[in-house]
Parts: sequence; structure tokens; C-alpha cells
Amino acid sequence: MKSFYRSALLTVFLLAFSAAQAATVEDYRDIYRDLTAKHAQAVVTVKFVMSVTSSGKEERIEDRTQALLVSADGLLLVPDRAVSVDFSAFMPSSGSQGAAPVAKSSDFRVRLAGSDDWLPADLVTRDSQLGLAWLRVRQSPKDLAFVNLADGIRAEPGMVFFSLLRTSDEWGGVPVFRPGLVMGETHTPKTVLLVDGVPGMAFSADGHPIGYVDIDFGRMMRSSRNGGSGLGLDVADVALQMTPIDKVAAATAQAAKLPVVASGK
Amino acid sequence: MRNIPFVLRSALFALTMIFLGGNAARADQLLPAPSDSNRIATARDRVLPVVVSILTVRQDYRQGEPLLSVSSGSGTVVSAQGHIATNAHVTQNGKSFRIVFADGRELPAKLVGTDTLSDIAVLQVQPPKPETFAFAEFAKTLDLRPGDTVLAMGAPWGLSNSMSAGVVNNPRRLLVSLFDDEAEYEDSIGEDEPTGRYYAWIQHDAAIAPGNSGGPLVDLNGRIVGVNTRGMIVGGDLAFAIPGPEAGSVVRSLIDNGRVRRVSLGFRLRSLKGTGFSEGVLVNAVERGSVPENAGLRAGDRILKLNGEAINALQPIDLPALQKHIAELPIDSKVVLEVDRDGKRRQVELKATEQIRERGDENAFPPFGISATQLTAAMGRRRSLDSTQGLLVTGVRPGGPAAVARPELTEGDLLLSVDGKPVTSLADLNLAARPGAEAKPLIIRLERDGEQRLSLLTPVFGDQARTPLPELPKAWVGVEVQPFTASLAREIGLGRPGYRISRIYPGSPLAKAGAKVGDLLVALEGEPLKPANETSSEGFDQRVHDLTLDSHAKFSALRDGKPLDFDVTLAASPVDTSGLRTLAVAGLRAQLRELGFYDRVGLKLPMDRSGVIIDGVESGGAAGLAHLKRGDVIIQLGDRSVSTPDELSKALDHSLALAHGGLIPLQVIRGSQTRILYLERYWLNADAPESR
Repeated sequence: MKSFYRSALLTVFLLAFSAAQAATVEDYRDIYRDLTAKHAQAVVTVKFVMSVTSSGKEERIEDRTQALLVSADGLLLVPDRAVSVDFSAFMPSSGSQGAAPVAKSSDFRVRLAGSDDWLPADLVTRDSQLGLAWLRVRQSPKDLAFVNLADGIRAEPGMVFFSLLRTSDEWGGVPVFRPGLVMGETHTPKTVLLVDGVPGMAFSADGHPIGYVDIDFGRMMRSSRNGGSGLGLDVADVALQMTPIDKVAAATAQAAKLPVVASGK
Repeated sequence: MRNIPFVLRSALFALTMIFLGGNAARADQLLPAPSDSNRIATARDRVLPVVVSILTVRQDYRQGEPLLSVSSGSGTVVSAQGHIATNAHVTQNGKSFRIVFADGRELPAKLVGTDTLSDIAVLQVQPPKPETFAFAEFAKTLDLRPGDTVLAMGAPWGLSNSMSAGVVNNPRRLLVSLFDDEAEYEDSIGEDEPTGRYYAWIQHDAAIAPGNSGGPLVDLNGRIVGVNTRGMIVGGDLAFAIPGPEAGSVVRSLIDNGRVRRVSLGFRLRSLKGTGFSEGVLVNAVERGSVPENAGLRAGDRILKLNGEAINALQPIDLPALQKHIAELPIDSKVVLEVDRDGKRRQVELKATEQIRERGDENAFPPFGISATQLTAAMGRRRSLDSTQGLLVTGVRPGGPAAVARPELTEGDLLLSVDGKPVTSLADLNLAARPGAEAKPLIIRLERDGEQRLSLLTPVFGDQARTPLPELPKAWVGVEVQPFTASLAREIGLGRPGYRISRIYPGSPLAKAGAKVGDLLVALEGEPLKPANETSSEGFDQRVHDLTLDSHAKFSALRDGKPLDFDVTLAASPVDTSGLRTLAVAGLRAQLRELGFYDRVGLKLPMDRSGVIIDGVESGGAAGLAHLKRGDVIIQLGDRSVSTPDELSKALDHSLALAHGGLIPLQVIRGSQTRILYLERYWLNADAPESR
């Protein structure tokens, strides 16, 4: 009987909490309209082929990711995991570099907003520490819509942000957005914001870029290995990471000066 | 019941060694009675010296590209001219063959002929000068009974000159269990390549394992009474051999004609089992639109006579002999069947036509990024395709031209034409898609799921790009460190928290500044270095990476408890492995990479050591055959030192061009040793494209 009352009390409490939450929910229609009008054209889809060598032969798989145009001449920002994955991060004891396979991507193709054509793109460079890589559209159309990363503002814990994505062509290639929340900030082992949201560029409500959100798969694997059975439900580490916009902008400015590595045929 | 062909693929060996131990104990228990010992020794001495191991370099196709591997099987010398009888699945997709004799001698061989319907093939040894070989003979008749002692000889798991003894369990075994439908028998043994249609198997329990395929089953008279072909990888000592007389007949045809000609009447049979009839054989299936259907034959008809001769198949085991009898009818002869349908008798006249190939040749077509098989009528029927000709796509290279065609091609598509030109063979495809000055899109017409569709494909001719993955340069000081938190440092007596140098790279910025292993780095630019935990040094790496490249930085440290400072000029971090140049050398079938900083560290090589590191090897390619392995560092090829993949490629070309060409030596660093390995010239396929 006691447990019944406890359960009932808990249910009432949860309902009251949900109601309070519902009462504070904002209507994001204006933000959606403004953000998509301002930046949706810069959010594009990239296809690529990831290869990993096994028994001397490459195994290949085609995949897709979201990319952001960051210059009018076709420089694209993509997550580094779409370009290279070092599997030593997934292994309990990786030893020296080269012991674990490294998956590498090639055959990048970009589908610009409103187009049904897949344009080839080439790798410019990557920054594995920031988890970013840059591609350049080959024979890029002129004056592409892009996001100016120099126009960014600093993200802080407690901020609500918005991520813009583009659906695949199977879903019409339309822009969608997702709100996210900056939950905290850490400088260990590196300076990042801990966020709840989806991977990709994060924007403030008024359309300024504030950082790049992504998942660190290697850290997630290590964290889960160190987490025992998981029954302790210590969820404080369960967060995506946002690289502050000043670091993203600085690295992008470096990348913009570089030529492409080589053009595939 | 599930049994498998007993050819040995190299990767299987290590995986399945565990089964061998168990089997060895059983074989001991099965030793025949002592009275048979002398006869066993006689049979052994007659046949075992002419039993050979066969090494096959296979070319299969994966993801639309050729893949070389090595497999092994067994065989028997059956003629003085060096003909070797083995299984067709031992030579399947073989690019080259080597025969290892009982005395260890190794010679190349060529394929004389293969008959997939009986799973028999013949190779011929190619000795450097004419030679007469000792050989064994097939039994002319099969008189085995259950319980007769038989000997299995060959190379189980690639272990040559092996022999096991057992007894015949059943000399006429059809591989249809009580749970199977006999009508599905052929298809269950091999799709597109049905086998065992014309004989019942010899079931025995002489231990065989992968690698025994094609080896002889010998009776105590020293006759080859069977060819070991299939077995159970788990579940007991069940082995199956093709009967010697049938195998011998096919071998003779292959030696004489290079192939076996057989007749097909265009329908399938099943036994009278369960029908209540006691005469004749049932027509199980008639192909739609075929000659027998047009002649009036229907599924369910009972054939009583063939050319006036009564035929019967009361049980499934009676069918193979009947099928063989039909297959051996004279080609193009008239065949009269007397059939019973619903109690009424009628005659059906047919023409005995020559059997067509069941499966077409498979090949890769790199400009499309596909592998494809030439469609045969039999393959088309099995897949219910509307078309009878075309190229059946068997694999697509991800990211290749076919994968990015609009719409993409997929496995199972039947290519019918390219730019309006019909394609029924790879040669047609080569003609239809020739390299031009510019890559021109081609219109592909194809059949998919009964629909005729169009796709736009731009072929790619020549090499595929392989580019390194560069990194934005980061500041680097050239040490590995171990974190010590405040509490751990206190317990250990280090005095302060910090990062203790656990490895220092020669010539690195901190080494130049005088740092040593054991120094505790406690501050950088005056800001304390405080590890957050005892497992990760990322905090240190991050602090260094945040510094500006080529600038100066001051580290504060403790050495034996005494403070000291290091003023360092920050250098760019070494390129990691993914940023190094790679080269896929098609001739070697290996992926090579520049030797990088971290390779030298990992392999404990001097920083000025040059060489080329192996990133991957195809087991059946030249590098694999030379026993090169991933992680080997090639430092010399032929008479040339090599320090980059391109230099190695040139050194290979140079060695191949030498007139006095013998073996090509390779100096390789493996672990703590420098080894010498050798490349045979004929392993290197100079025609293959090289991808960079």
C-alpha cells in the first residue's frame, strides 16, 4: 500500500513537472522562418565512400553526411569522422599509430540546395583535434550562399541554440531545424561546451553561428568502457560537444588558404 | 544435412585447427584389423607417392573488383604425361596452379579441362624438360560394399602426404536426407553449377578435411575408387567421394577433348517414391516454351520407355544412373519416349540436343566499377528473367561509376545494351565503352525485377585517385607524458601534480631544450599543468596544441625534486599515418605507404631509417605469395634501395626489365630482424592497372 502511494505521488509530481515544462515551451516559428531564410541554402548534403583496408583489399561503403558551405566559392565544412576514422580510438589498447586500421573517405559528392545534381568535391584538409574537415566543390557555381563564421558569437552554458539540417532527397531535400541546449562548459581535456542537440553548426536565435556540435565516438567508447555495468546511470558525461565558434572560424580561415589535396578522376 | 566442398581457403586453417585434434583421436580408433595392415601398406605405396597438393591462386570478385587469394586442394597423377585429376571446385576461378609432389618438388601446371557438372577437373604439370611421371589408375568398376576398408589421401588443411583409413558407410549415397525434397537436390548442391547429377556418392568415414578435395579414395587393391569431394566440417566423420569409374570416365574425356559433351532433353525427373507406381520414372519439371513442352510432354507424365527400352526409377538413388544414360545419348539423335498420362499411353518424339553451359564467365569491368557474368539460358531460367542474353551484374564497387550512375546499378541487374549496342559479353562492353578524350555518359538499358529500365553512367578509365589525408599543422614538443594528479603525486613523492615525461623523441623541441625521461612538467607559460585524472594526457596535448606554431614556450619542470625551466621552439607535429602517401601497386597486389614518424617510433627504427611500409597484402597476389605481411618495411628491392612507394614501383619495373631475370630479392625489416624474401617474376601481372 505504501508503495502505491509512493508511485501515485511520483506520478503526480512528474505530471506537474511536465505541465510546468509545457507552459514554458516557446513557439519557434519565427526563429525557424528567419533561420531557414538566412542559412538554409548553405546547408547541403555530401555523399562519400569510406574505405578500410582488410587483408590487403579495400572494403568500401557509401555514406552520407551534412555539410555547411562556408565560402562563396564552395568551401565546405564537414565532420572529420566523414573523412577519416582511426579505429585505434575504439580499441582498449591501441598501441602505436598504425596498429589499428584507419578508414579513409574519397569520392565526395555534394548536392546543393535546390539542385538534383551531385557535384564532385575534393578534400582540402582536416583537423582531427577539432573533429572538422574541409572540402571544396569542384567546378563550383559562383556566389554560393554561405555562412560567415567570422560573424559568430560566444556560446555560454544555459543558451538555447538551433541546428539546421537538410533531409535526403528521399524526403525532398528540405531544411529542418532542431533546438538544443548548452548544458555546460569544460576545459578538460579540451575546451568544449557540453550540449544537448544534434551534430552540425549551431546558431543563436538571431542567426549567428556559435559553434560546431558533434559526437566524439572514440571518447564515447572509452567512457562506456570505463563506466562499468552502466547501472549506476551516471549520465553527466552523456553529451555532445560543441567546439566554440572562434576555434572553428580560425581553423576554417587556415583551410581556406590551402589548395585541394588532389583531384580524383 | 549440410556438407561442404573440401577445398581449403587459406584463412580457414587457423580457425579450424581445433577440429583436427578431435578427429585425430577418432581416426586412431578406426584403424582396421591387423590382417589388413599389409594390404594397406601395399595400397599406400602404390598411390601415395603420386598424390599431390595443388596450390591455386584464385581470382574471385568482391564489391565489383577482382580479389586474389590462395587455396589448396589435392589430386592424383593419372597419366605418364603428368595429368592430375582433381575436383573442379579446386581449380575454380584459378589464375595459376602449382603442384607439390610427395617428394616436395614443386612445378607449375596448366588447366586442361573442367567439368562442373561432375565436379572433376584435370591439370597438367609443366616440367622444365620432358618427363615421364608415375601415376595411379581409376577403378574400372565399383564393387565397394559397406564396411570395406578405404584410404583417403591428400593434404587436409594443407598438410601434404597425409593418409587416413576408414570404412565405406554406403557406396550409393544420394545427398537427400529424410527431410529434403529430392526434386531440389541438384539446386541444393550448387546454384548455377549443379553437381552430382550423374552419380551417387560413396559415403565413408576415413577422416578428411578442407584441403582433401580432389584427393583419391583408395581401396586395398591400390585402385582409385573415388575422388574425395565433400565432407562435414562439424557433426562427425561423414565424407563423400565421387565414384572412381565415373570420375575416370570424365577425366579421360577432359584429357582427350578438353570437355565433356552431354545431351539434355529439357526436363527434370523424379523417382516413383510415394506414388504407388512400380514402373517408369516421373517427369518432375518441364521448362516453359521448351522443345519437350512443345512436343507435348507435361510435368507429372510417367515415362515408361526410352527409345523402346523400359526405364525405371523406383527410388531417388536410381535417378543418377538414369540421368547419366540420357546424357550419354548421341547428340542430335531422335529420342522416342513412351509416356503414361492419366492411364493413357502416348509417344513423344524429341531431339537430343547438346547441353549448354550452366554458368557464364565472370569478370570485372573497372571503367564501370562492376563485376559481371555472361548470362546463360540456364541462369536466366533460374532467375525468371525475360531476357536470355546480357551481362548479369554480380558486384558493384561502392563509389564507382555504376554506384553513382543515375539511377545506380545494383547486383542482380541484367545489362542489355550500352548506348543502343547490345552487350552479351565483356568483349561487347569493351567495344561499347571505349576510352575517349572526355568521359562521356552512356545510356545503359537493363532488366531489373521484370522491368526494362534506363540508367546514365559515366565510365572512368585509368587509375583511381588515392590521396593522403592532410592535417592542419599543430604545435608539438615531442614527448609522451604520464599524468600525475595532486594526490597521486603526493603519495608517490613527486612533490607537485604535473605530467611526467615517459618518452622523449630524439631531436624533438623538448629534447633539444634538454628535457629527459622522468622530468615532471608542472607549468606551461606560468600556468600550472594540472591533470584531471590519472589516465589521460589529453589535457597536456591540448595545452600544447593551443600554442602558436613556431613560437617559443616556457615549460617549468622538476628533476629529482629540483626546479628547472625549458625554453622550447615549437615545431609542427609529425604527419600521422593517414596523412602519408599510399600507393596500391597492382602488380604486387599490395598497398604500400611512406614510412612515417610514428612508424619509426612503433617499430623502434632510427629516425633516419628510410623504407616503404606494407599497409595491406592480398594473399593470392605477388606480395602475398612472397610472404610479405602488413607492417613489413621494404628497404631494398632487387639492387635498389627504396624510400618511397614510387621508388619501389620504379625498382620493381627496373628488376622486371632486366634480361637475366631470376628471382627478385626483397630486403624487409620485420620486428627486430632484417629478412630476405623473393618475388617470382611470373607472379607479377604487369598488365594490371596501378592505382595511386
